[in-house]
Amino acid sequence: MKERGHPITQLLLLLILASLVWPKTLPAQPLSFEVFSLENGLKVYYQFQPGANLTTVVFHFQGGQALETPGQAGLAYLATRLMAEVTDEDRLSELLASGVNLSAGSRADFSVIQFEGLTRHLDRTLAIVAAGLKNPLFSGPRIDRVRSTLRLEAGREACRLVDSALICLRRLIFPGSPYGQSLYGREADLRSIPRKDISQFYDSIMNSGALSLLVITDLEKKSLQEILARHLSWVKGKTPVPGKRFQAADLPPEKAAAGGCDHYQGPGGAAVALGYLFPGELAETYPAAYLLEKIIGEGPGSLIWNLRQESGLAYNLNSRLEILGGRIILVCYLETEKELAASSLTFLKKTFSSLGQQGLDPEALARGKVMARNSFRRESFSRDSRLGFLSLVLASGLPLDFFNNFLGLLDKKSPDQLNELIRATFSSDRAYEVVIVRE
Amino acid sequence: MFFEISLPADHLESGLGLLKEVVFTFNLNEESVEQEKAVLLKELADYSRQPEKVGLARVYELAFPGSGYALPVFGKAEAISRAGLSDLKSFHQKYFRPDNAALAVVGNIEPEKLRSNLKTIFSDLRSGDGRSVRPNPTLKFPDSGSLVEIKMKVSDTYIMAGLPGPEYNSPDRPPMDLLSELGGAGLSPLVYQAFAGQPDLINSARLHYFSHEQAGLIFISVTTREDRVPTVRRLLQNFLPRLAEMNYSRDDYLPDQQFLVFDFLQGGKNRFQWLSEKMTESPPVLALSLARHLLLRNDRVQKNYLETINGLDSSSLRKIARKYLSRTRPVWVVITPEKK
Repeated sequence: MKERGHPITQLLLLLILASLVWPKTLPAQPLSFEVFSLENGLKVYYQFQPGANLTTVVFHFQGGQALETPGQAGLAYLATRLMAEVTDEDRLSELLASGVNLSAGSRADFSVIQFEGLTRHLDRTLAIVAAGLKNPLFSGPRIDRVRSTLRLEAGREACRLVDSALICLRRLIFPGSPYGQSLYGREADLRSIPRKDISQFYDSIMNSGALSLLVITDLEKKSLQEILARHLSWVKGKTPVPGKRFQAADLPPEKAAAGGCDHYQGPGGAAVALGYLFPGELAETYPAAYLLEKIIGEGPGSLIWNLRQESGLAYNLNSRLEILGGRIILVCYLETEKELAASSLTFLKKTFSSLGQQGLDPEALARGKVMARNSFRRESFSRDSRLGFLSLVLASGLPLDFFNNFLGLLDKKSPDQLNELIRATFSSDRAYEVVIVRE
Repeated sequence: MFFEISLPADHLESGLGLLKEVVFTFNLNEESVEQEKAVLLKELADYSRQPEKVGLARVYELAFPGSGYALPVFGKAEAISRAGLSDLKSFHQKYFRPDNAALAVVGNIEPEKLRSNLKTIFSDLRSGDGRSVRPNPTLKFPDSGSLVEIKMKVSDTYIMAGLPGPEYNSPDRPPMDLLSELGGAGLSPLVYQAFAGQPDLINSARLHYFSHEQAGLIFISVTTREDRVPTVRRLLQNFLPRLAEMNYSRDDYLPDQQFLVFDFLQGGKNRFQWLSEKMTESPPVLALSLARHLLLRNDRVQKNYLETINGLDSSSLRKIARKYLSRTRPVWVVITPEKK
């Protein structure tokens, strides 16, 4: 989720406030959600977290950037931001006095509007946010203001090396799809998106087929159900529509080497991004891919770490998993000096080729499993991470059980299964690569 | 400096042993130092492309000239290049001592067992002469607000302003924390009021307050277009004294006017309560914060922080704004896009 307010401010405040709660007993983080439906069919994914007087509500809309058609780059973000606007001064005043956080944004396959605050303010906050969602104001001046913000965000993103390289990598893997554009859109498209398209986008996602609610709260289920039913009974019922799927490029090696990236507009520097598509069904492959990513790119000691530490070829070196249209991609990226870009790419590809040929010994895989387990538990301390992962799971069409049993699914992966996946994924002819070199 | 380790509670003892080794044992050689220096120098080049980092570092440099706070936390190329193994060893010996450190452990732990573990693991470490903080006589905010202009390959123009704020142990810190929360966070940050009625003048505005052991900094950052720099600076300069006159609470108004106004004060207090609840979900942040507090706090009586915040009223905020935001001329850093 891109839009989270100002992280520096929040971290500073958290640091300041930390000593307040000591020695309050810390609640253990819950690791599963349950699901129930309102009468209109609206699904609610509920996690009870006693111990913190805090409620977070996420309006999760199936379909983000993937719903954009050519010429509409940025539409999902633009519409979602407009839907979250509180246009009435009195209501804004009320929200402000309650101190809640409200954010909105889009990702590749989903959009979210999220608010969070003290549980005692839930009823009124939901009333205000739901009223805005029911009758959003898509007026010309408001559209222009959000457009202008998105243009600026897109401009800043185009000045960041790695972000630009990753956009170009998505463009390479899913040619012609919306994933190859910035989430914030493109100048020409933003300028020409008409109000009608925004309204149509709103209509397409504001129903129980596309919308579900993700709630983490210290409220008992019954109380929550009553509040939600009071404010969201107007949401129209609809049968869910499966997420859009785009064909990944069948990339021959000679084409892969071409790479290149015209998205970057920033100062001199060089970046390399390498992507590998995991084969197979998402539900089957994702736990294994999650585990492998920890071994490959999780800081010191990981497979790619030598590129920074021993050979000094790169900095800002990292890897991550992306799920786009139901496909999992392992993305590895780095920044380096202009003259080292080619050798960094060669080194990186060699590392993956060698991994693909040799696989990993059972000991390394067992260590990776422990790392993956601990990493998942550590990430799950934060409700933002839990909500982010559940959003991804739902947007990818996976069942709730997948989220709830994720640790079990990790454990089940045998060394043979993992090595089979390694061999099927990491070969030089399956590498998608992007190199940016700017003088 | 912080060192953090997160691990399952069952492995706490081995984790503490590992942390002790990492922190208190100087285990570097010439080769590893040179390797790390080479990477750090490359990372410095990356920092130099980031306008927020470059700007903040320059604001500190202007605000606290001649002091340690004037140096960028990510380092300077010449200092990194010059540093040798023996320099690092001396630095380690001087500062990496138990009497100059604090340890915070957060998690599902039994206090008695932890105490016993800590004794076993850490008791062989030798202390120095205790931690002493020497007041820095050069730490004085300049009277004449200075301005530095920088050209960078960026899409926006950045205007950054720095003002002196209360240091960590100052009784002024809680009201300044609250004022900066109202100024820079939430649904309607006050800093945007500087540009009220001119929605197209700026792209974004932020306000932060950083508190340190011997000083504090109020930092404002605005993005705009290059041709608007003089106007934005003027409006920002006019706005800061207005914070000392503002009505922050509904209670500042007559009953028949109260429904018309925003209750910033109540909103800020609710946000503090919300954030304190949220923070319990992040053990690493909690541990880091506690360790920082143990290191920085002085012997003055510490009041309950949330109670202090809840006890603040509009007049406390006006007072703090008058003291820190009205009387000093800010230092300025302006970053403009390089011409193509």
